[in-house]
Amino acid sequence: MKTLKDILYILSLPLIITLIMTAKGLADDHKLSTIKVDKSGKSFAVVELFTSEGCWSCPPADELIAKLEKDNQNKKLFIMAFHVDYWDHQGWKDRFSKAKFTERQRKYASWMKLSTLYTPQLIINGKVEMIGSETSRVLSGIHSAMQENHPGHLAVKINKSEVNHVQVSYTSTSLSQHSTILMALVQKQASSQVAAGENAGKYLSHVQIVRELQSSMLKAKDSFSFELPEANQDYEIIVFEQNQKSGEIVDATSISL
Amino acid sequence: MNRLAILTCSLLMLFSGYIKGQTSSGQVTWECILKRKSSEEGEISMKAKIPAGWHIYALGNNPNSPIQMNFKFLPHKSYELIGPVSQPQPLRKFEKQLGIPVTYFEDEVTFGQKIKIKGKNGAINGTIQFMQCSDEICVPPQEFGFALKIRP
Repeated sequence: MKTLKDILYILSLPLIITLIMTAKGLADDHKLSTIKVDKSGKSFAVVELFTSEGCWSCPPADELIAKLEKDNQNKKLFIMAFHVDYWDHQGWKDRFSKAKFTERQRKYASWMKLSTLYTPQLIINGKVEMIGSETSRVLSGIHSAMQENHPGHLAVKINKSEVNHVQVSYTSTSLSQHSTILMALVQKQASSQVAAGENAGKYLSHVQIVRELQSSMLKAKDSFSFELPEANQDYEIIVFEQNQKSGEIVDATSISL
Repeated sequence: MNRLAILTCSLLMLFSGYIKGQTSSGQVTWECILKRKSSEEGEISMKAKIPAGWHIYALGNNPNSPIQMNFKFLPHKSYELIGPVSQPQPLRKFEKQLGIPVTYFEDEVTFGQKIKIKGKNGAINGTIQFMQCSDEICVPPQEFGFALKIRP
């Protein structure tokens, strides 16, 4: 019986670990559903994921934002996936990548005093950054952001909507001296065909892909025009106000096309 | 063996497992030297030190993938390249997302480039383009430049 006691003693530790991990998993699931509930208060979470089709450590991060987006009822949760261009070269290119998006990631590195860029990087409200595949941290971060209070100044409407062209205008009552208004044209879903290797012919799917990003100094009202890159796709425009000194996002709203 | 020892061992194993799971913010560093074999033969030896938790990619990965790894040497009249850059046997794994096998190195690796020396004095200017990744993240492709002198 002395041996049995020893065995149980040794097993107790792995058992405790399993219980902790299960509890953690359940806590994450609970946070995920809490975040996706319909909210109309004065809080928001702008989630920016810097990723790439070519980054093979990115799928868990891409999957996490897909989970957040699926059946999401929270109108104050804004998700944007920026495809960076530094994995592109002669032999390979991410069709959603743009130098402008890498520039944006570089800007964050400067605001947050980071020594390097990396993917997958996830930033919430321009204030906190983390590895995009760290589920618990991402969910906690979004949850915290949704607890904050922000006076809403921004309203957006569609002026003109044609098959491949749209004009969107905003009004703002913000008095901030240091703000820029940014508008992102977001394609809700896309898939790319894998060209080479064993997965050739298979599809990589993505959500909330930023196709274009425009910005200008904050005004009381202004408008932006976008060319829609692909027909028969669902798009939305996410508009947000960002403080150019700190990088903090102080207001956000969206409209579906 | 008493219970306290067992418990301590398990805790230590747990702790080290947790530490291994963290991504270190390590930078791959390079050391490049010219090894002289004779008055006419030499070898450029380029050693990478790769911090724990990280890896760099080997030569010979699929050129139609995002992986970039290459060596460039500025031509100079004082030397001539003999053959391609050599590398030891790399580690290999199948990268699901890319759908291809990838070859890589961890810890430390030395690449070599044989040269024929044609002048008494000269300079070798080289650039190494490499990529470092951990299990969780990848850092953009980096370039390391170096210069070596050829002396009589």
